[in-house]
Amino acid sequence: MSNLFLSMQNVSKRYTGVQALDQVDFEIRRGEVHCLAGENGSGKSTLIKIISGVVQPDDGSRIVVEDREITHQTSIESMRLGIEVIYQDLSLFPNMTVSQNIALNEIIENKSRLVVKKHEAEIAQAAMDRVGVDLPLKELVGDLSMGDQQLVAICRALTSDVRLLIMDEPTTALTRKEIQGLFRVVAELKSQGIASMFISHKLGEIFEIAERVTVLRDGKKVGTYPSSDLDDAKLSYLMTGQTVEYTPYDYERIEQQPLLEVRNLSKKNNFADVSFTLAPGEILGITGLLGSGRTELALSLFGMNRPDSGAVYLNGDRLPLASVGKSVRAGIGYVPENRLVQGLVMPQSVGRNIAVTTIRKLLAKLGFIDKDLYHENVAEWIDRLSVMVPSAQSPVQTLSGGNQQRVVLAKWMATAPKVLILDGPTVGIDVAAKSAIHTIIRDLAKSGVGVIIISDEVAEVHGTCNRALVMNRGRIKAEFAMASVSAHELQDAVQQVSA
Amino acid sequence: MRRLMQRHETYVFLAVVALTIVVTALNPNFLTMENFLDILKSCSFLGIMAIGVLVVLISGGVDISFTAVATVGQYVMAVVITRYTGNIALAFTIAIAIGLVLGLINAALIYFFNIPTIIVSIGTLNVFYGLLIVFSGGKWIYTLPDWFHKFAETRVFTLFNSNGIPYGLSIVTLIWIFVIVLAALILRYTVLGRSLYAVGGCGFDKGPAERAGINIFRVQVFVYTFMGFTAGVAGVVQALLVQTVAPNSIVGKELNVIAAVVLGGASLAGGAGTIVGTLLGVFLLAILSNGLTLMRVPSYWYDVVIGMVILTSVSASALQQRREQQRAIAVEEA
Amino acid sequence: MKKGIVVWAALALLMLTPALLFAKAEAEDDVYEIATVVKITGIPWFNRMEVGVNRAAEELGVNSYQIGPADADPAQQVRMVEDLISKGVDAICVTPNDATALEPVFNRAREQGIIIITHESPDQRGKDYDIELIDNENFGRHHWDMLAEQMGGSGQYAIFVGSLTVPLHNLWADVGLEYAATQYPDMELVTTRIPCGEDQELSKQRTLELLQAYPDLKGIVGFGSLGPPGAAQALREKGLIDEVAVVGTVLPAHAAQYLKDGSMDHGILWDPGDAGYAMTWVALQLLEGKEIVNGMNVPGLGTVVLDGDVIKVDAMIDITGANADDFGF
Repeated sequence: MSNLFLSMQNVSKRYTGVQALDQVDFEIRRGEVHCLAGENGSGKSTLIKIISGVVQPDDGSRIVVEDREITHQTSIESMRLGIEVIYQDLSLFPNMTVSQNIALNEIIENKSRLVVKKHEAEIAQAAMDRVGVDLPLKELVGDLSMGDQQLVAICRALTSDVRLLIMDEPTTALTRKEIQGLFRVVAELKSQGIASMFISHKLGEIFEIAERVTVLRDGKKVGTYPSSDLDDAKLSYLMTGQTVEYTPYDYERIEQQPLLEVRNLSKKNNFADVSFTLAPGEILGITGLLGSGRTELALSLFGMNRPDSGAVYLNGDRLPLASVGKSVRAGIGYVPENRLVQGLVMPQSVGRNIAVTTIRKLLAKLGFIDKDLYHENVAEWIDRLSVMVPSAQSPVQTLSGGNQQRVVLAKWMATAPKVLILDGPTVGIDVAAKSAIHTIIRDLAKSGVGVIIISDEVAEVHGTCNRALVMNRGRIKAEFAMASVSAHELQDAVQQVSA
Repeated sequence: MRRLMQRHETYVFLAVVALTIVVTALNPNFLTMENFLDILKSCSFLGIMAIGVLVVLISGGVDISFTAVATVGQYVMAVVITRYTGNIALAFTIAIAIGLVLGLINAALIYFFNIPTIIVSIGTLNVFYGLLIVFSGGKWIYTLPDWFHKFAETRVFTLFNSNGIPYGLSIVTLIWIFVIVLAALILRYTVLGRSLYAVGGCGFDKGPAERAGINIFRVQVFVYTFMGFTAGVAGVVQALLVQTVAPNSIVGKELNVIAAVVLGGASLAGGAGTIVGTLLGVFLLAILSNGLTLMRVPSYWYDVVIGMVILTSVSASALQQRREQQRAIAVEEA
Repeated sequence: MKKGIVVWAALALLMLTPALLFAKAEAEDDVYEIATVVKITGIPWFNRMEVGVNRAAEELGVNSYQIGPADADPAQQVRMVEDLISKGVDAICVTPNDATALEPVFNRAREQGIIIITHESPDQRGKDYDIELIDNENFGRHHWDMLAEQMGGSGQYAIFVGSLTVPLHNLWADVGLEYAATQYPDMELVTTRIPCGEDQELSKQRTLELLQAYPDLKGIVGFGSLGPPGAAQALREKGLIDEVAVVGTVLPAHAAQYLKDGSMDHGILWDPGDAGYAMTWVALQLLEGKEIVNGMNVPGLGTVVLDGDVIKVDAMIDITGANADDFGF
C-alpha cells in the first residue's frame, strides 16, 4: 500500500473550444493537507469536478484511488471511495437544525423511511465528537455564524467514511477566530489519516496549515511545492506568471480643509465614538477583523444604518445620514462588500447597471431616457475602466468577478461622488484584476475624490492606501500612515488590537 | 423561553388568545363548547386544504389550483353517487383518486418544464375548472342521497344545549383531524418529511438537495399528489357541509387558505412552516370572522379588519426576524 | 426533449377541447339570427335562461342561441358583442355585466341596424328596449310583505345580499328598508346587510353566528340564490325551524327541500327562462316591423306595461313548498 490516497496522471478535459485542463498530474497523500491554488479560470474547479466524479476526464487520463484505477467514475462512486466536497455555498439547509443537517445524508444514503430523532442526534453527536467540536444540536443552521456553518458542513461529510475532504474557499467568509477553529479541525482530521484539500486563490492563512501547494495556471500544472518554500509574492507570481508589486500610494496633501469629517459617531451594538477626517485625494483604509464594526460604519456613512449619535460633515455641511438617496445626492458613493447581492442587478445588461445611478441625468424631454446620451455614457465608462465585455447589452452575470467589480465602480464613479466608500473592493477576484482595480482607485483619488477602503486584507490596505485606521469591537484602536509602516508591521498591529 | 419568543407560532397563539378574550368579553356566548365545536366543524373544509397548502409551501412551491382540483373531485363524486348509488367510502375514493391524478399532472408539469409552480397552477386551475364547466354545463346538484346527508350529521360524541338541541364533535372534524395527524407524522417522522424541508430550504437552486442524495422529482410528486389528496378530501367535506354541489362554490377561496397558512408562519419562500402554526392560522381567521358577527361589527368592516389582522401579524413576525438578523457587535465599553 | 413535445401537444389539445365542443355548424341563413349574451355561463340561472332562448327558437321559428363569458367579465362581454356585430346577426339580447362598458358597442351595433334588447338594465343607454320581468320596487317590497307575514309583523331580522356591490340586491334591500320603515315599524334590522348570499357555506356560518349574537332573531331575508338555503341549513341544525323565518330569492328546485321541511318559508323570483324567451320575442317583433305598445301580450307571460323604452311584464313568482317542484328549474 502506497502512501498515496489519490494519484492522477495526464488528466485533460476539453470543453467546446476550451482546454480546461491540459495533461495535469496531481496527487494527494494519505492524511495530507494540500492546497490547490490558481486564478479564476486556471482549471481548479474542473480538476475538483473530475476528482468528485461530476465530470469525466478525456481519454488518456488516468486516475488511481487507493491503488485502484478508476474508470468512468460517478459522483456517487466517488463518495463511496470516501471523497467528499464542501462547496463554497456549503450546501446546507438553513431552515433545519444542526443535527438534521449533519444526519441528512447518512439517513438518505441508508434508504431509511422513518426518522428517529434520537438516532439523528446520535449521528450528529458522533460526527462532532470525531473532530472535537460542540455545536448546539437543536439550533437552526441559518442562525449560526459562518464559521460554525462550515463546521456543520464538515461534520456532515464525516458521517460517511471520508478519506479526502475537499473544501472550496473555506476561509473567505470566516473571522480570524473561526479560521483557527477550522484549522484545529483539519489538524484533527489529519491525525485520523484523513486528507484535506483546500481550493483557494487567497493567499495568507492557508500557508499556516497546508503542507504542499499545487499551482495551476491556464489549465496546466505549474508545479507542486512544499508550502515552506512559498511566500505571498512567490505564490502570486506562480499563479499569474507575473510579478505584482504594491507600490505605496504617493499622496500629497493638496487641501488643508478636510473633505469629510466624522465626529463621535456611535450606534448601539455597532460601533462607538468613531471620529476621523478624510482629505480630498486621500485613500483611507479602515481595517479590522470580520465583526469589528467596519462594514456597519461604512453603511452608516452611506445612510443605510442610522447612527444613534454623532455627526458627519461633508465640506462643512452636516450630512443627514437618513437615506441612501440623500447621501448619493450629497456626493457619497458606496460599493458594497458583496457586489453580487447589493451592488448589481445580475440579469440586467452592463449598460443598464452602469446607468442606474445617473438615470436622472440621462432623461430627455418628457422624462424619457435619451437613448443616444445613454449609449454614449455607457460606452465611455466601459472604455475608461476597460471593462472586458462583448457588448454593453451583455447581462452582468456573464462577466468575470473582476469585470463585475469594474461595472460596480463605473456605476458609482458615474455619479461623480466626492467621497467613495469601497467595501472589500477586490474580494473574490484574482491577482491581476486586483492590481488593475487598484490603479483605477488611485486615479480616482488623484482627481480629488476622497476614497475609503474597508478591507480585512491588510496587504491590500497597505498597498493601496496612504493612511489606515484599525478597528476592533466597534472602536478605532489605531491609526497608521502607510509611508511609515511596513505591511508586516500593519498586520501585527491588527493582530495586536484584536487579541 | 427565548426560543419560544422567537417562534412565529407564539405570536399567532397570543393573537388567538387575545381575540378570544375580547370576543368573550363582548359576547359570552362565544366561549361555549357548542360554539367551539361549531367553529371546528365549519373550518374543517378550509383546514384540510390548508394542510395540503402547507406541504406545498414547505417544499418551496405555491399551488393555487387546489380549489379546482377539489371542485372536480367533488363534482365527479356527486355525479356518480347521485346517478348510480354508492357509499361514503366510494365517495371519498373517487374524489381522492381524482385529486391524486390532477396532483400528478401538476407535479409532472413542474418537474419536466421547470416552470415556476405558481404559473403552472394558475394554468391548471383554469384548465381543470374550465373543463369541468364545459362538461357539466355548470349544473348544480341539489339532491344528494340520504346516506350522504346522514353521514354528514354523524357525531363522534353528542351533547345537548339548553334548548335540548344536539351538538357535538362532527365526523367532518374527525376527518380533518385524520388529515392533520397524517401530515404531522409525515413531516416529523419520515425521511420524506425531512427531504421536503431540505428541498424547500435551498431556495431556487436545488443543487444542495440533490447533492444530499434527495430525488427531487419524487419529493415533488409527493407534494402535489398530497395536495391533490387533501383537495379531494376537502371536496367531499365541503359537499357534506353544504349538501349542494355547485361548480363555482370552491374556486375563489385559494387566497383565504394561503393567507391562513402564511399567517401560521409558513414562508412563501419555502422551507418553513409547521402544522401547529397552520392550525393556529386557520383558527385565527375563523375566530376573527365568527367573532366579528358576535361582536356586532357591521359587515362593511369585515374585510378591513381581517386584512389588518393579517398585516399586523405577518409584519410583527417579520420585524422580530429582522431584529434577530441585525448584526450585533460587542462594542467595547469606554 | 421528445417527452416534452408530447406533453405540450397533449396540453394544447386539452386546451382546445372547449373550442372544438363549441364549434357548431353554421345555421341556415333565411331566418332571423338573434343572439343572447349573458353575464356568465355555467351557472344555473343562465342555464335556465338558455332553456327559454331555445324554446323561443322552436316556437318562434328564429335562429336564436345563447353565449356568454366564463367569468362575469365586462370586457369579455363587449368582445362577444363586437364579434356578433361582425358576424352580422339581426338582433342581440344582453344581460349586461357593466352598462357603461357596453354603451359604445351598442351604439355601433344600432348604426348597422342591429336591434339591441337588454334585461336587468333599465337605465341602459344605446339599447332599443329593456325588458324587466319584475318591477324592482314591487319586488323589494314583496319580500318584506312576505317576511312580515312569516314573522307576525314584528321582531328582529337580518339581510343577506350577494355582495355589497351587486346593484339589484342592494336596490331591493334599499327599497324594502324604506318600505318597512313606514309599513312595519315593529320590525327591527339588527345589523347592516351581510354579503354572503352567493356562498351557501358562508351563509350557513353567518346564520349560526347571528343566532348567537342576536338570540331574539326572528327572520332573515336573503338576496342571492344561495343565502336562504344556507340560512335554512343552519336553522335545521340548531332546531330553530319554527323560531326564525327565512324569505328570499331562490331557485325553486334548489330550495324545494328546505321549503318542504319548513326551514325556509317563502321564495320569490322570476323565471330567467321567461326572460330569455321574452327578449327574443321582443327582438323578433321589432325585426318584423311591429311596434311595442301598452297592453300587448307576451305569449305565456302576460301584458306589457311600457315605460319609455322599458318594457315591464309582471312575472314575479312565489315559491312555496307546495309548488317548488312544478317550475322545472
